[in-house]
Amino acid sequence: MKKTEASHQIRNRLWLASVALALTVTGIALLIIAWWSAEFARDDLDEELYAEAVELIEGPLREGPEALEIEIRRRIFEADSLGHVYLYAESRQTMIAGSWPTWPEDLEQAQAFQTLAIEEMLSPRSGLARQVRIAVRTLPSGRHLAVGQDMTEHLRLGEGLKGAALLAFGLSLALAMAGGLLVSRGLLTRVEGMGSVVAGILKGRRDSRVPLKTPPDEFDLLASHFNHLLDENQSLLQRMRDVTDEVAHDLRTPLARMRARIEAQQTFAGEPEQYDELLHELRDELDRVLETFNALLHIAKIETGRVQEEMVSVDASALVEDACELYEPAAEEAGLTLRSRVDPGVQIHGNRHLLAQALTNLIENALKYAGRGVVSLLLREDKEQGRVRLSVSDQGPGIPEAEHERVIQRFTRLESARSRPGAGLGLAFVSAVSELHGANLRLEDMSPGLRISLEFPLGAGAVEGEAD
Amino acid sequence: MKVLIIEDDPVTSGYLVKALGESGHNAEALADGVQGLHRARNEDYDVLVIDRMLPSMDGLSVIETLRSEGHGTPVLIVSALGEVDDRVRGLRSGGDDYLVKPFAFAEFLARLEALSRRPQGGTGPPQLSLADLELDPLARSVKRAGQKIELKPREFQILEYLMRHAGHVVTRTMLLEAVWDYHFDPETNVIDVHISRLRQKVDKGFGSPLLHTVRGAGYILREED
Repeated sequence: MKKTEASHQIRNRLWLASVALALTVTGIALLIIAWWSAEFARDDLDEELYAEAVELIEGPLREGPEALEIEIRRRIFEADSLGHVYLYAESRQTMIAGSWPTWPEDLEQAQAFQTLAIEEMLSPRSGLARQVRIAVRTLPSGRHLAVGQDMTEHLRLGEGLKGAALLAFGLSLALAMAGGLLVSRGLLTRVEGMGSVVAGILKGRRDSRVPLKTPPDEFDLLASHFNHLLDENQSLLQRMRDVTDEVAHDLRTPLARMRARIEAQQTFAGEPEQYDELLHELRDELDRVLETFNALLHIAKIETGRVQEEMVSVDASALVEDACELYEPAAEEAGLTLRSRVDPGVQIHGNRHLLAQALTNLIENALKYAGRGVVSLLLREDKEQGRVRLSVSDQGPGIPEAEHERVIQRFTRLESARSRPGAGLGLAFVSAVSELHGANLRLEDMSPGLRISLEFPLGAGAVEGEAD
Repeated sequence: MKVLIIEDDPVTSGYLVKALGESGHNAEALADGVQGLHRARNEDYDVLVIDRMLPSMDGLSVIETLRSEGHGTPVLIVSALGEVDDRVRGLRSGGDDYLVKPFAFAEFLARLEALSRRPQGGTGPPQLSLADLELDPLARSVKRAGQKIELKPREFQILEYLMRHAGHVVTRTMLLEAVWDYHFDPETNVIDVHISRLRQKVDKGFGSPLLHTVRGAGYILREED
């Protein structure tokens, strides 16, 4: 089998797709989380700073500017020198009190919240430049108050989050790759399993089938349909092979016989009358071969349903009565009685010519093999069951129950019939016609005798018949 | 009887021309559909024999063309296609009879003769008679030497067919087709028994027999010389 290009293999496409999907989803999720947590942390800090500034303004400042100065100095003294920053200034140049000796140049006095990078104060733990978040307030006296807090811890949290996000991203990438690989490989193994079964069948291992699991999944359902198709195909092939073998056997025998007769005549050149006799024999033999051949073609054509378009509503009662009338004198001549009991006005949806031929095949079989007694034709319409039953029964030796299935096959002739003329296609023809008409063909042992019946469905045909 | 055979198998057509010649008829053969159509248009024949599968123009088209141009010469279609629907299609295209290959020459000849005498339109004489045998199709009555003969419906149909073809061979297959509308040959020789019963009623007890068996072909209804 032809290998597909790597980029076109479903396995690779499936895998790539699953990886891309996983990456996109985790990436977006992590970005949202990181952004959201950073925002949240800063807002939180800003609120804290604002609250402290308000507290200073509303508390000590109300008592007087000196009280605020004292409070700030106390807080600077008490605060973790690295953690909190307080600035209280008359103007940019004139500091009143503060954690830093001067008002930083970058710090705007008019802006409420700012982030300030302090390069000279390296954080001992992270080695990062310190980031201080500062809230600035202008007091009614025109002085400026700034309350700040070291943000480095917050930033470290953000860095940590970023790392965790990258780790999660990497993990999900690995999982997606592995999972995608497993899933695609699992699916593809199933597909390749079916593929290898087909390849095996093409190589001649016709019995191989796709193994099924329980409980079945979609692949098992597909595989089971596939197996069913293979079974059907194999039985068709078998039937075809059987027919070919049968044809080969049944046509080769008379042809070989003819050839032998001709060769004998050539070797032992005889009288002119003998030639005449030979030609007659050959013609008869050829006629039989042609008849067999035509019958086989006819059966094949019916079995493949190529005569469907001729199906009409057929007057079955007249059909049976006609056949009875046609054969009645011949039956009497042969020492049998042919009788018919026919329901009037019975309609069958079908092909009159095929039905007539099937019926005459049955009558001829009965006359040929029963040898004595009564042969009865019966046509019954059972409106309740919606069936029309047509049967031919005799009082002859019958057919052993075990052989019933086999006699319907082509060329089957029971040992007892070998000496009589006939190709063994009569019942095969009846069976094909029966199937075409959706009828049930049944053989019953009447001890003594045989009854062969066809049960036709009383469907559209009957309705059409009434409409006629 | 002048016959044109349009058939592409030279062995078959050669044999038919020769055998028809020996039976006292004048036959010629062409192997091509278009040539055959041309010849059939320009010369008078009693019967045309046309194969279905022909080079350059198939048999059914030849017949359809002839019919559409108003040529009424009877046509016997010969074909290896023997299913009922093939036959129906053949007759629908304007053929008058259909014979499936392989066929016996006797069958072929009987059908040709039946066709060549076929009345062109009209429904035949109201009363059929041969020697002292009379058949009235409308009254469905039969008399021989003025004496009424009781026949079953099928026997009447057989006799009517034989009388319409009096003097010509009628084969078993022709009777099966005409009387029973069976387009297949049963294994058993069912027709012979019907004929012998008919013979019992029509010939027995009367002077010379009228219903004769022609070996290897069929039956003929005629006066003995």
